[in-house]
Amino acid sequence: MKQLIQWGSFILVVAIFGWLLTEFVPDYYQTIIAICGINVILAVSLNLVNGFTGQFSMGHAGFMAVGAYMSATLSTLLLPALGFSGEMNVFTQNLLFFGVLIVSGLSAGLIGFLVGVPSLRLKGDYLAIVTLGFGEIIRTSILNIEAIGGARGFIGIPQWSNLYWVLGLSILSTVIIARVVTSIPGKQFMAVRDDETATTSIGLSTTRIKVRAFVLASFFAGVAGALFAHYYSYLNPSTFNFNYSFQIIAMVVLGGMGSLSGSVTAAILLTVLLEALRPLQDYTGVDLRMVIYSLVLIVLMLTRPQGIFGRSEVTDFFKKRRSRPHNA
Amino acid sequence: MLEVDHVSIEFGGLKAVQDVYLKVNDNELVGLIGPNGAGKTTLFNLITRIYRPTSGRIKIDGHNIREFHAFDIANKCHAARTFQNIRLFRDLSVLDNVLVASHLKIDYGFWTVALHTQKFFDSEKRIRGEAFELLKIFNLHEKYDELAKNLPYGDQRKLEIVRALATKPKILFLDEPAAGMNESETAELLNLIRFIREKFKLAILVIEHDMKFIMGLCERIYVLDHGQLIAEGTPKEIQNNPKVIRAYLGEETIT
Repeated sequence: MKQLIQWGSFILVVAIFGWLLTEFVPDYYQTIIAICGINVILAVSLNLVNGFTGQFSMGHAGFMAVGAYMSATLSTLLLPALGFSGEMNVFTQNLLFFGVLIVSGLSAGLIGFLVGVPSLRLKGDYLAIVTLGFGEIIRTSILNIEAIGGARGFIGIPQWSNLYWVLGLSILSTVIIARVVTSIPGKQFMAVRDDETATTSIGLSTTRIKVRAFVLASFFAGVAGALFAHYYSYLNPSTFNFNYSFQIIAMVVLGGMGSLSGSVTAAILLTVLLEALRPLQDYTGVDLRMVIYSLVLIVLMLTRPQGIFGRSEVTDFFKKRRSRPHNA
Repeated sequence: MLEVDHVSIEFGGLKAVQDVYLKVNDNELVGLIGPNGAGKTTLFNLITRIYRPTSGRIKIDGHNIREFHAFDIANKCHAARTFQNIRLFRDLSVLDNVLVASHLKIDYGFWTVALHTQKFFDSEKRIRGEAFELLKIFNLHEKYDELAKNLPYGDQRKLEIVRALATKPKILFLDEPAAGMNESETAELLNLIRFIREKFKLAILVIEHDMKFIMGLCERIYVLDHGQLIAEGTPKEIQNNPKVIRAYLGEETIT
């Protein structure tokens, strides 16, 4: 029953807000909202690795690229070859898109597993170096595969993504990751962050836990990539460069490592800020955006080094002290 | 329960532990003492599979630990430990510290968590309840919601033992549990360790260099010096052993 109410209200919220946004908001702002939603998924999932598990991944855009190109290949090259092309009814189209999203997420997760298993066994900064390199390898590989557009970019991807999908999936990913980190098994991620030796001593494999976090984060990055690809209907490898990975890290750090509310807030804040500064270029003639953007980051980090939320969540303000566990 | 069979380890040219033999029976309280730098903690790290011995064999609960990963020592050999410099999950609550260690009780997977099914609530409530009961035994339940790093020193030591007990061990290794404690805290700890042995029916191996503490606590004592076993016996035998006195007090005092 409780499940039904939750799902019902979820669908209702997505339907109402999706409709309001698509009907009454100008196209330009719709695009910004869509980027916000996609960045929320990326920031929240990266927080699982960088914030909750205490590892430092620098290649999140790489996993997003895997998902984006995988989804584009499926919907633009594979599905038409199987006979799904041209006009189709709304139901089939969305069902196909759902399948594409899942497969793209899974393939990004698989790549995450392959990258994670060798590199997460090491301690310290190795993960940062490996993931940084990995992101570049993905980008350069895509650049050199002509079948998926190479340097020209991938064109003609069907525009299946919309604000309903983006809104729904950003809520869903945040809720799932929030449920994971508040569950008892989810506390293992934070145990690894606090003390690896102690985690081992109570019978937990730190490598296994880290890989789990990494694969889950990669999965969501892949889904975000697929949403991105089908929103713009065009992909260019240069989108997924180190700069994008760094922006996602900035969102996680600014929001607070280990706070999902923080990641959501910072993802929206930084995306909007970057867009809001765009008109400035028209007046000054030079691109001052990045200068101001980095100034904001520096000031915020100086005044609040733990991030906007630190490790607290929005929900903490509503329940000051949790009820006792045995009568919870 | 624990059998250390002629174990040695070398770091470069340094022989940190040499040919040590040690045995702990079921439900026995055994002490391991020695002056600073005698190799006690190294031996502990060998037993808990953090280091691999250069030679020799270590068996816990009938298993040769060489076959296992370090994390399997707790699961398959039913051995848990505490650390000389307390290693709690500092930014987790007191209850969460115990919950992380209760991982063997988790009987649900990712989908149960993601979908919040009834099974999720039932299982989590049960595991939380059991962890809370365990905290109650050690009088830490009032502070269940506090961060581990904010606990007073004595409670941190206690919580580390509770966390180790949450893995349901048959043998418990305590690495200098009385370090940094005053007289009354040490006396309390003495009773606590005895109580744990009775209540949970397990074997305990304690490292200490506080002679008085170990003499009052243990049934059998092993003495290490410069990586070698120099004596073994009851507290009385150890107290009168000239080798031990020489190791602790130096050469000249004994004539």
